[in-house]
Amino acid sequence: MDNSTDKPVQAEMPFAIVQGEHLTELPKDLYIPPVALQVFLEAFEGPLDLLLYLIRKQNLDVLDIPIAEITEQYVDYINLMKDLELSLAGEYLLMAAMLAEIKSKMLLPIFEEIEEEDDPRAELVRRLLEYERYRSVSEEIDSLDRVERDIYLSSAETGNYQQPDILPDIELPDLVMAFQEVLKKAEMFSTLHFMKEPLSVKERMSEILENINGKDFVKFEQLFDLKEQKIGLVVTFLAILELMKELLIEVVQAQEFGIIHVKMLVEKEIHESN
Amino acid sequence: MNQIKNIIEALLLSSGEPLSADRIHKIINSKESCSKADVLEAIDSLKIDYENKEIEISRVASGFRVQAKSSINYFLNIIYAEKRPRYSRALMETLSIIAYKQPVTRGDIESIRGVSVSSSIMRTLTDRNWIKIVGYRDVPGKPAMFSTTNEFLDYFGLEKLSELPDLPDIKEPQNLSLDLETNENRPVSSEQLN
Repeated sequence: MDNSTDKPVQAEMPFAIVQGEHLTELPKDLYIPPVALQVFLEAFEGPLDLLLYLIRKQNLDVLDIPIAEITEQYVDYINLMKDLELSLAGEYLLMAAMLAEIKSKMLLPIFEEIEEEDDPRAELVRRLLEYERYRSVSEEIDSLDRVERDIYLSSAETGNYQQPDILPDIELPDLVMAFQEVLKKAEMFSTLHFMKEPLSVKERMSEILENINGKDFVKFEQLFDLKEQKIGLVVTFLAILELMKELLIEVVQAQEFGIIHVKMLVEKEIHESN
Repeated sequence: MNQIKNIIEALLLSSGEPLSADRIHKIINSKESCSKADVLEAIDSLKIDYENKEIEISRVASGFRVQAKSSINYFLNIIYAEKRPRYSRALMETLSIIAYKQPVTRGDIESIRGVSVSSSIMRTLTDRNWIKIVGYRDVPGKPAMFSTTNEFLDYFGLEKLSELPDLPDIKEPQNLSLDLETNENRPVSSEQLN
């Protein structure tokens, strides 16, 4: 388990060969464009990926990892990244700590009684194997035929087909909001009135029906006489609601938040209700 | 019958998404009388018609769709050469873990990959409608659980999750006393390791 440096395992990997000379250390004044760093960072998908790479590259058995060796190489890589002044993701450092812990545990003598205890590498091996399963299957999925790359969908243009407009239903709150608009506008006309006008919803209903009779659509707002006092506007609004309830008029909206229109629903003798 | 067949062909070509037999049946039956068996028969008949053509009807998770036969991919690749999206290894790994272990939380994904889950990857997967939240695990923090969708299967031309490539078996480490209680049906490999 000691660092037998004379083992011909692996010479330090040169980063580059410049004029036949192997460079193992980066020149201090080397300029590295930020884009290059990104590529470097993306080479590994995390500490597990990096460890698997180190293990597989040297044809080592995952189930019997030479921890000392691998730890050294792992730390070398991390130092390299530090030399490149890359900010290391915390996960890499955590793994370095985990490797060091395993290494130290393996140096401890094994007592007979605890022989059955887990190999200190067990958890790491389990994680490596588990990760490798998904990594390899993800490559398989990546090579599956897929839309936009290997599967091309056929379609026909729909030509003159136009989707029918579906008009939104009007809910009571919409009407109330519209009425509020009317009230706001009326305020601009507000003057002092002293005359008391007799108001009847029934009467107003007839007026409205008269007003819209024969016309196609009348704007909701046009049913109100803005010069009237608030009470008069309220009576008109009540009359409209009443007419809707009796299914005498229809209230429609061409689009959401659009103008609300009122239409006569049934041609009826309008003076009858007077 | 021929009429129904023609309608189905037009529906499949113009719907912009795969249509299930049930859905086609419901659509046509709203006007013409036809049974679900009629629909399936018409689709089979269309399949036969297409045998001499370079398009085919394929069945994926969401239903039937018309697609070009792979025999002309050479030509289509030229047309679409520049429009093909690429997906990173990180995205494919994340997607694979969700597909095989669903429903999973971000924590599950992180513990397998050993790195934190990228939010942009989760957003891409969600935006593409390949994954969706199916619930929240009853542990502190109530993390969301993700599963894959039918659109994910459609994209990879699959009908069912079981058609995904098999997840490789775990190699049984015999020289390590690993904790095996949780996974009893893992095959024990007999080969001599070491």
